Amino acid sequence: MALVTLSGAISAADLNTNFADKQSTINTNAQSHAKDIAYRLQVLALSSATSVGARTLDITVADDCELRTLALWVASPDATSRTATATLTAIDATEADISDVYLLGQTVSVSKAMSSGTTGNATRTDYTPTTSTKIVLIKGITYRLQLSGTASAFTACVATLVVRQIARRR
Amino acid sequence: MKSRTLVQFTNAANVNPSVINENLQGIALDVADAQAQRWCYSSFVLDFTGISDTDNVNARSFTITPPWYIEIVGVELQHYDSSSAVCTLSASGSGLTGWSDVTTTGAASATTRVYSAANFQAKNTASSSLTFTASLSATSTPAALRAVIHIRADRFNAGNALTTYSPTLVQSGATTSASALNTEFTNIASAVAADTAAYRQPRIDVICRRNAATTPIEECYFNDPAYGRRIESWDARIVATATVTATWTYVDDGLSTVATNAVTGSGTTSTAANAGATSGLPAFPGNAPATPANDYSFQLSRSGAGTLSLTYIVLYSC
Repeated sequence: MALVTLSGAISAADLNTNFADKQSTINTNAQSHAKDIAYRLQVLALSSATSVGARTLDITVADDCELRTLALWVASPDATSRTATATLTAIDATEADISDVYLLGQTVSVSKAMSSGTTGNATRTDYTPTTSTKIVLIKGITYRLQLSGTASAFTACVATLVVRQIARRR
Repeated sequence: MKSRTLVQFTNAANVNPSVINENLQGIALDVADAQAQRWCYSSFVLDFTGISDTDNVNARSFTITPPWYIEIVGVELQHYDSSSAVCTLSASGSGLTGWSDVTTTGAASATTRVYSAANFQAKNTASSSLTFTASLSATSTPAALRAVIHIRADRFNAGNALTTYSPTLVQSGATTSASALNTEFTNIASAVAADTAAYRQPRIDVICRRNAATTPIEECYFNDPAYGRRIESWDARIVATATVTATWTYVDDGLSTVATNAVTGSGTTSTAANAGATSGLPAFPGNAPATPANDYSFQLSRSGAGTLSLTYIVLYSC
């Protein structure tokens, strides 16, 4: 739409067009301007023996965010079977799991099993489809992104948490 | 939040000035609401895991140069350490004000988290370099040490003027000319256009690799899932001997090179070199996450023998 230049007797239709035009743009802006934020956690040689700190990233979001994607990329050194899992939980100040409250009991995780080959493999859990569970990360709550592995070590794992600031949406 | 419902005019009816005013005021509030959402909150992670107390200061530092004004609103420091060394995260820069150091004291256990969070409002002027440094007070090589830096940036401070709209109301009982209404609609359009132009939601990403021995190796592959953003520039830095060059390559979903950023050590491990920003990077494909087959990646390769203590890239996205 575009603005109608009014002249002479002003029609109701032209008034409606002009008012609707810019309001529509405001709404469109709000959605198209919203962009994603990514948090990465890379761990080399991830296995069940990896120290907890090396595979843990705690994030207290500064504003309410919707969870968009939890992605995982892994590479292994040989054909031995192994599995990597990236999990998101909510924790309190004592590191107790409070996901029941702040993730509504939802399990947010993604796993990748490898049993052959050494090249990288990517997978993800996508929360953006309209039919998916909608999860909001609440401002001020600490969320824990953690990788875990099995006995055989991977060469490298990269977990990526993608969120979107809600305040920019309408 | 949804925009207000405007009054719909119908033909064959006299337009009441108060109704026009209602719509003008409604639009004005919608514009104000949209423009009030000017602060974009984001975060970036600085991974200090692998440092020790004896490392050169540059190997314990990250330097970023945000092209926009930012405010640091909070810091989280996560420290797992088998010693009880005190870790101090400091920040310095000529354009930085309001920063307070954040400290943690090691728990003498590699599996126990020591966590410190601080909220403040440090301000950094646009294009002013900012260096974050982690220092350890005693003999220590933390099992893990990461800092999450929370920032906010003003999308109207990213090169876009903030044009507001205040309605001039139609006078009751007076004849309103079309030109007066046209002026109102033009002013509304200017304010909405400013909101449209201020699309930028500034964000920063830091991807690092310490002690990369040989390449190409899978350890130097950083998968970058498809998500909505536009990388506007990126810096590469290195802390290495002069014989070492680190080359960061941005590879698309077809494994074609999109851009490269190469940086060579400066002869000692005490100096970080800046490869500078490369503009013209394409917008990341799509606004919604795509399949893994659509992923891009950052890949690091090194050449030359010598010590590569640290190399990292800083992505500036909008």
